Order: sequence, then structure tokens, then C-alpha cells
Amino acid sequence: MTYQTIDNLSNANIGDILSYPTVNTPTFFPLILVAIFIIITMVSFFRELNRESKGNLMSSLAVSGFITTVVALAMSLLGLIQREVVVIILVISIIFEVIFLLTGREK
Amino acid sequence: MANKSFLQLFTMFALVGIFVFAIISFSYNLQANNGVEDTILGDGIINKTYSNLNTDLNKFRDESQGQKTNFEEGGLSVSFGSLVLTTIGSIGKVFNGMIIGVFGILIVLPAQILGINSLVIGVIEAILLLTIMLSLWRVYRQGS
Repeated sequence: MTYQTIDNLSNANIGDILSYPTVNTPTFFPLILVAIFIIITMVSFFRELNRESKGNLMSSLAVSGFITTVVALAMSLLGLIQREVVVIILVISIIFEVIFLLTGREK
Repeated sequence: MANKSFLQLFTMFALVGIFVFAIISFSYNLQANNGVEDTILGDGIINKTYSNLNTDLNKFRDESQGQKTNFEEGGLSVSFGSLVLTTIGSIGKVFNGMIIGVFGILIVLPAQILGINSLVIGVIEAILLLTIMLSLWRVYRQGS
């Protein structure tokens, strides 16, 4: 299999350059989104654990889901990911946000 | 969720419905205003969920108005040393229906898009129905 290199791109604009990784690896940007989701969840959870000695994983997942949705929407504006990926990310983030809203901590 | 009163349960589900409606609306508007041709409403399930939520949440106001009229016209009587409100049963049924309606619309998303097993959905639904029934019974018995 011959991999396309960046030399093969002619008259490339910014959209072509940004979407170049998907030529050989179509799952590149969905994997980036998964990484963003996990990183923000962990950062948020452990920061709360260090600050208040009690972490709320549900709230971290909800916030992370929302941020990932916004990033996915931005990527869809540039044509970097397909509608199906945006829909799956939206549904996963809705699930975590709904679970967080329905099981909020009693004060 | 188990210890919440019926009012809290209803408020939570109404706000969850509004939140999901808002997030889908925001996503669609952002894409449409920036020239994306294949927006999320192009997906049949998201489209159906959005329009069902729109219809369901619009019905909230009309049904609540109707139940308020019902409540005001319903008779109060004293029985066995306590006040009895005869219309509370129908009010409970209508608001219970609204909660189940929102739940029914939202549960389609994980079931069809993520392919979650119907067994899992059934168990969650059973927990929700039991919670609603116990909360309503507390309203009927204790008035709160």
C-alpha cells in the first residue's frame, strides 16, 4: 500500500492540511476526541480530589462530555469528522450529563 | 433519586428535557450558521428526538394549566380528621405521564444510537417507575 505523503497535496489550503492525517488514518480525529475526553475527566476529577479530598466522577464526566461535544462541533465545521461521530459524541455526553443531573449530590 | 419528593423528581426531568433540547438546538444552530451541510439533524434519531421533545415540552404548559384549573375546581372535604383533595389522583397521573414522556424520548438515544441492550433499558425503566409510584404515594398519604 502506498501511503500518501504531504508532497502529494497540491494547492493545499488550511482545511486540506488539517484533514491530511485522516487520509491514511481515518480514525485520527475521533481518537483525538477520545483522548480529550479522558484527559479532561481525569484532570477535573483529581484536581477536585486534591482540593477537596472528595472527587465527584460524575460531574467530571459531565463537564468533559460537554467540552468534547463543543470540540467535536468545531471539528465538524472544518469537515474533519463525519456527522455520525458528532452524533455519537453528543449522545455519550448527553448520557453523562443526564446521569449527573439526576443523581446530583444531596446537600 | 430514590429519596427525592415527587416535586423534585418532576422538576429534575423537566430540566433534563430542556437541557437536552437546548444542547441539540445549540449544536444544530452552530453548524447551520457556519455553512455545514450535513448537520446533526440529518440523523433520523436525533431529528425525531428533537421534534418529540419540542412537542412534549410545549404540552407541559398546557397540561399544567389544565391541572391547575382542575385543582382549583376540585372539592375539599374533611374525612377521618384530615383534609381530602379528590383531584390529586388525576393531577398525579398527568404529571407522572409527563415524566414518563420525557424519559421515553431520551432513552431512545442510548438504545438506538449506542445499541444498549433492551434488558438494561428495562431495568432502568423499572427503577424509575417504582420511584415515581412511591413518590406519588407519599403525596397522596402525607400531602408532600
